[in-house]
Amino acid sequence: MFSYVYLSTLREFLSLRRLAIWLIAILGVAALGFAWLRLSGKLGTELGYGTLMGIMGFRLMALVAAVFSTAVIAGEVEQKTIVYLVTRPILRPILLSARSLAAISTIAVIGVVMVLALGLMNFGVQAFKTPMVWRDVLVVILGAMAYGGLFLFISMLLNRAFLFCLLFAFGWETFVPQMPGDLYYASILSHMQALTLHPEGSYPSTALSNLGSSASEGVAVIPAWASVTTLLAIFVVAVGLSAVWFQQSEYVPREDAE
Amino acid sequence: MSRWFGLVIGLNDVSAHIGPGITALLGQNGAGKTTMIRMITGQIRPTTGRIKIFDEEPFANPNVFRRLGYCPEIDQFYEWMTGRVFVEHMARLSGFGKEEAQDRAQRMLQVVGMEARCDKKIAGYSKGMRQRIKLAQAMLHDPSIILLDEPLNGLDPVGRHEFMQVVAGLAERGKCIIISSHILSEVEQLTQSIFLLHRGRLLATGDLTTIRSLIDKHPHRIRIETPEPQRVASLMLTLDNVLSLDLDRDGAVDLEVKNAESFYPAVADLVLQHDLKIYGLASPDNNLESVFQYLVGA
Repeated sequence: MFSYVYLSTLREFLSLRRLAIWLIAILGVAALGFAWLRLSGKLGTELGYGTLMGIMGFRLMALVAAVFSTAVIAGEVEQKTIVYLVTRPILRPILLSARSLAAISTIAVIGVVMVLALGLMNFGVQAFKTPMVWRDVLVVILGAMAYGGLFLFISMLLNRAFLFCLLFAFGWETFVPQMPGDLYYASILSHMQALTLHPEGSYPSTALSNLGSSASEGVAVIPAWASVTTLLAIFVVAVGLSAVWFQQSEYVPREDAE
Repeated sequence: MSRWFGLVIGLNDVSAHIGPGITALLGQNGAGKTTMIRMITGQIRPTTGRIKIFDEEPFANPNVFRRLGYCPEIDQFYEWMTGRVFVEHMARLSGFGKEEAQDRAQRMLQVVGMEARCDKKIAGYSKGMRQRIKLAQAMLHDPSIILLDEPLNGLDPVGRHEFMQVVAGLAERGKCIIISSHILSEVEQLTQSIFLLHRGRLLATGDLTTIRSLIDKHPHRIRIETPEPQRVASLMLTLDNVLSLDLDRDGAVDLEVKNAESFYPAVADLVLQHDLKIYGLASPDNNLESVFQYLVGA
């Protein structure tokens, strides 16, 4: 049952129609990046690639995560098809874990395609021999798990979860790493950046970062093992809590929800 | 059992046992039908009390869902799927293997008359076609209990007739069928067993005729069609059951009677004793619509 739910959900999420939208978005990001690197004279450099991944790649991945994680259950509630899922003889935790794994796989696939697209655009075929690119492949997989799990949990708790996920991805993840002190530990993006092999100076400083510690200063002090553990822990805890919540809570079509 | 939504009560102290056969769940909008169906189908829990299906609590319980089929009122689907793919998908989610799911889907699509049109996308389906697909997915795992929430909506007269035949066939096989509908005349053709909710409370339950006979406030209206209305009228006035009498312009006699059970044998005796000519005898308010109106004061 798990494998059927996983594969059918994956087919749905990776349908040509949906995938085409994301491929266009990735190509758009890559084209923008190419133009920017060419104009700034950083084309072909590791610094240019690292900067692109930092300001565009990881953010696009967070957006992808918000879209697919909220589609696992909240999307079904919104489109009222949840009723077909929760009245079938399948344990809710199995249903949820299979669907969330499919969502995370989708996020990871799109993330990897994006890394390769940005790598190819910057380094050409040399991208396949560049350790920094392959490290980023691993980082986006871990990021997909962490973002996917967290956004799934948010979508279990809150109505209109997509909005809150976007606030997290583009609000929290932008400002928290720039805050003074150790707050950057509370950011998934910081842990992802800490795991990359991007050269120092890849992530541009902001007005906020000038007030205290910056993201690039912050990430440098997070050990890799701590980031891997944190990202995996977020995934396990968030998906686990989501499964418990889903088992205990009532889900009825959105419009009729009291 | 009762169910509250914050300060609003959805279902108030309803206690009932529903067995095999067809039971009609009736009530106006906001009566609590959907709340009750959602509790039976394990989507929501009662706030107080308990609900048991085959001795098990239905909420999120796969054991119950294996024996329960549900045709929801909502009109939403995975629009990109074809009807066949959707029904097969539901069969797979019910635990059947690929081939078994395909076989069951094919059979159910035939039963609901969708075999010729099931390979088109659901997005292009009419309301009636969607209704049939929902019915197919509700019946495909041969459940013992089937809940049909407004299943006649959107079906054309032929479709309704076919559907009612399917439901009657299922009831003959001993299935427990709970059907919620506002098309009272058609529900009445399916069953005499009703479950009437009003403002969250259970107003009446049981056999329609029995319930009607218990409504003393509204005497039974009976219409007699005869070529000799004055003679019939004078004889009817000799019966204790008759409360009022009216001679219709069409030549019919309209009566208001109490204790309808004893009135009909008495009429039969009069016909035999006085050789009365009676072409028709009907009770225009001895139906679900009237009972419903009398009970809820609609």
